Amino acid sequence: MKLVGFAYADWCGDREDRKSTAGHIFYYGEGPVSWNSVKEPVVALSSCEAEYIAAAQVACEVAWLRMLLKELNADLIQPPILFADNKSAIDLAKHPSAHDKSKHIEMRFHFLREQVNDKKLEVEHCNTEDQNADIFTKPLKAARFCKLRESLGIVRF
Amino acid sequence: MATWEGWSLHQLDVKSAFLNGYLEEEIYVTQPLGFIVKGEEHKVYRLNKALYGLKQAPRAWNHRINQFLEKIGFVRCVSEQGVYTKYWKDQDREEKIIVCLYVDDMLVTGSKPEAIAEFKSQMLSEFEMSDLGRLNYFLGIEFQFTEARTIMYQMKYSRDLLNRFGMKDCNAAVTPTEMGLRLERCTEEEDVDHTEFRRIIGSLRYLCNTRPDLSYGVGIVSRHMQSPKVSHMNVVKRILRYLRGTCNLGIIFPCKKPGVR
Repeated sequence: MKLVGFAYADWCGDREDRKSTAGHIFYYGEGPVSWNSVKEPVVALSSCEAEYIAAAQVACEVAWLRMLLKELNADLIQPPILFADNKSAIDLAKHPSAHDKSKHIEMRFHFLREQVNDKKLEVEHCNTEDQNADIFTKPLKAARFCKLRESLGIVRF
Repeated sequence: MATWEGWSLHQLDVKSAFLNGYLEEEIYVTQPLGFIVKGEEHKVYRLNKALYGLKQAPRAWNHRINQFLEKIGFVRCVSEQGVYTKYWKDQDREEKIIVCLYVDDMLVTGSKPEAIAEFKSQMLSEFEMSDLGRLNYFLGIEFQFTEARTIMYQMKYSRDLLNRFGMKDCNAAVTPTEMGLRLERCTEEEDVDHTEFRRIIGSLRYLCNTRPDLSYGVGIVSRHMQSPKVSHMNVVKRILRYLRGTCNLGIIFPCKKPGVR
């Protein structure tokens, strides 16, 4: 059984306080089990940071999902995979480097880096087109909306 | 998980659950109207078990059911207190049964149908309860099963919601939020009815349990619960119009294909 998900952020989604909108979805096997759409708690200075924060919050949810699945004796055949489309955010999660543009990121969001380092979560790149969590972060055109809706596992019955 | 593994889901309901709780405190009640014993009017009753309306009744019930489930071999999950599990080996096969408890409603699933049946009979002999059979309706969510998949939906809930807020005959919209939509907080616009606004959002939030497509729209209007304005209400109405055309959507959980882990 696999746990696979997507995290995405719309930088500065809120025009008034400039906070970004984050969204995620996780699938157990092929069924959607966890999703949300929230405003991030702090202002991000770049789209990379916005997505890093989004991924960090998802890492917390995944940590809980892993614990629950362990208690339910489900056999996870590999660490959960989180897809993101921002390459710099992925680099930031994989490599413990600090440069001027990321020094200010709050410590708590580096929970993501720790989870990735401990192999409790893998972060992989996906194209923006295949970013299923896009639907949680901004209004979309009808065609794109319907396509993503289907990929969330929503069907007519 | 149950669908992925191809297990069946069953539902149980405890009748007047709170009356089953044992009390740790001494509690007295006056004699109820119409049941006053002649000549003993000055006396009161001391409770042996919990009654509805007592503030400790929910806790007493949860304690009772928790103890019973532990007695019959279940372990409460640490990461989700409403879930209980039991594992055992049967001819080298790992078997399990999982119980989800929501106050007095229970869902049960597991790898062995016989174990589910046994669990039901254990529950029926301890508590007064009804066996609702295979799951089809739980907490406002409807379920539809086939061999290959489960669909979870809230069609009835959605229709009731639209009726309640007078939107059952509105024109359907294709998406819940308009492209390029930007909501602002402090506009000079007129206020709308706070209570009504919050009531609609509350109902829509519950609907997000089976409708992730609504999450974003409901999320942005939720930020304006403080002082909802006309423009915010228009966004809510747009979500309801979208819902009008999509009551028959639900989320699908496929069963794993043979040979897949």
